[in-house]
Amino acid sequence: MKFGKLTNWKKRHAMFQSANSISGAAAGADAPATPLRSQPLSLEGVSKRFGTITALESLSLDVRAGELVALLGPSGCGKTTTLRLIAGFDYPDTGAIRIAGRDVTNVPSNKRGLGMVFQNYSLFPHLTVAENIAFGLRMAGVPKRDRAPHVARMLDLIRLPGFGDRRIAQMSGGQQQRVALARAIVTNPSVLLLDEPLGALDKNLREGMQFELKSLQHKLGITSVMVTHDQEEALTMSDRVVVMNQGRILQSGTPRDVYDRPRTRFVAEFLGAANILPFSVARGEQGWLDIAVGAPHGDARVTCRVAHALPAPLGAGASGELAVRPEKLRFGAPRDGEIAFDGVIQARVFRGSQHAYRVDVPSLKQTFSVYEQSNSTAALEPGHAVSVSIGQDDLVVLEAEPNERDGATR
Amino acid sequence: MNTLANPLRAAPRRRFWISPRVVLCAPALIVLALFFGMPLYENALRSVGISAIPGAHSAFTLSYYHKLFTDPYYVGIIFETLKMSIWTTFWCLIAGYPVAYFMVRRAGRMAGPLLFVLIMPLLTSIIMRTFGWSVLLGRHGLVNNALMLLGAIEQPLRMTQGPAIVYVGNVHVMVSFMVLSIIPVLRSVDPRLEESARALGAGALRAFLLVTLPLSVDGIITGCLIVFMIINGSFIGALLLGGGSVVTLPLLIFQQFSQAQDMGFASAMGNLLLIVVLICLYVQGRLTGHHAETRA
Repeated sequence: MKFGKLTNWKKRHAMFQSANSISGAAAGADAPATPLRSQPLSLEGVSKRFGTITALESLSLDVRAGELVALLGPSGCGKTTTLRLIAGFDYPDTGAIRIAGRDVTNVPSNKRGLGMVFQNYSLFPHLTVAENIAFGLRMAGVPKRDRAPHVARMLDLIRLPGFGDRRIAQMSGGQQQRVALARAIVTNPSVLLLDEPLGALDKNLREGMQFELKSLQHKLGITSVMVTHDQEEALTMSDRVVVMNQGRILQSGTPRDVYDRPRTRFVAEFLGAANILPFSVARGEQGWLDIAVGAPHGDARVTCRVAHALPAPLGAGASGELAVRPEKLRFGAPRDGEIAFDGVIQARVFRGSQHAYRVDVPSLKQTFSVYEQSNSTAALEPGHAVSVSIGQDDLVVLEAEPNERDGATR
Repeated sequence: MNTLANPLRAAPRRRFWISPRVVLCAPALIVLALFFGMPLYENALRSVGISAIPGAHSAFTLSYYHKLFTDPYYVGIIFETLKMSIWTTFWCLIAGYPVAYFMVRRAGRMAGPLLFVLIMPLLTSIIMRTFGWSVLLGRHGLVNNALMLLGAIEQPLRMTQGPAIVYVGNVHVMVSFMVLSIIPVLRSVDPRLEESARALGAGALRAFLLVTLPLSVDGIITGCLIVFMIINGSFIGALLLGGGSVVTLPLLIFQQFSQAQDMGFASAMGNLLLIVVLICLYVQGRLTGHHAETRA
């Protein structure tokens, strides 16, 4: 038993040594860093209940090696539960979790080879910066003298050389954030978990850290799962966004894809602002629909043809909803392939890079939200009559929301 | 000429002006001075043979202290007292920490009722609580009677003899203080710190020993010193449960005052206990203060 443990230590120690030499060589040659140990992660039909509340319902998710996936959703959507299950702080009721192909469903947290950055960093206040970073190495049985070079390498990596002897309380929020990251990746984990990693930083710092974290993650090639309720953070940082609500995955795809082609109204509205327009179908085919925009029996109806990615096309007479992003709306007469609505500007807000307008559209009995680049046109004043044009290709046909889960959230 | 410029400054009524702070503190200060300060002062004088009462016999002497620190019997009692306090403190810590940990981390909705259960005995007199043990463990107590009825024993066990029961009684009386000192500190330790230690590869025990325990050390120090100081100055356990098997300094003081009427010697011993308490307070200030500094 004891012997087995010792060999295990040696093995792990050797792993750290080689990790060190690889990254050292890569940095020396200034070559693109070799991904050290990218491993896939998968969740298969994972469910979790807390008492009568279903936190997760048969959730399946595959994270490719080296990929950064952001779980995005409102509070209580199950994203944090998912992360805690991956971390091993809670165990799923059903389903399996695999890291690098190994079933870790019932493996305790400390034996999963994870790195984790917590929302408030969870740095140990009674230890120095260096001791915090070295904690994982210490747990892995790396002798004290061998920890120092790893810690120094990490401090360089997070651009805080010489800060090793500082107390945690002496560090600023951004610095603590970087220390937390260093502590999480020094052991060269197969999976990095980030729980609202930038949530505690102020806005300016957050933007800088988004780039920094992303490039570091990319350089190290660590498979990462990030939890956030900040849609901008999810879009900026991740390779793939997974939008969740009520314990289910609603949509998963590249940030661009999920933002531009939201599948449901919830996704459209959660990922930034969206104008939702009703429509009814005149003719439906696989791939496209001829529709009339507006309430089914409204007066002014605008017809057009839109592409769709619905699982089954809607038949004639069916109705549904379209989503269009405020920045895709344009003031001015319609061009080819555009539809237009007459409206009156109700309010305007200057937001630096953009003007945000609220436009009353009487024919739809609706208010549009329109973003215009602030340098492109002169600002229009409230009361001004305008024509709002929308490209047909920018209209996204939404799927009906999945039925409210039967008795799941009560 | 500046004094003339500001007539308010020269207002005559300012001369009799007393800070409202002093007024508010006055009742407490007067009570403390009369019933705490004065007796302490008199006690200190009496221990060196000087009487504060005018006309009484007064002669400076260090003989009481000399007797206390050189007579092997009394030196033994001093050590017995310290040993008793230290062991009681130790067992309170061993018994109390898990309870505090459970209440903060695991009890959930049960924490409220449990806290009530913990505080309730404190509302009972310390004498009642201590005496309860001799009712339970006495020659014809509950435990002996039950064992006799079950036929497990033929003769009542002598459980009330010897120091063990004094320790049991003392730990029982004091453990709440330990738990109540540790709970608030433990509550301020973020449970996610332990989780992050787990994620970094620490087993449950190591995560506790390396993270939660060092961060709750303030509560441990405070609890230990409270228990130590109270037990160091308490004679109830030794008096009611010891049956003469445990003689500690406070018990001796009680006897000197009430039976031997040797006021001077009792005062000297009382002052020794006071000094021990003052040292404890100093140690607490240093230890917890230092810790807070490094954290801030």
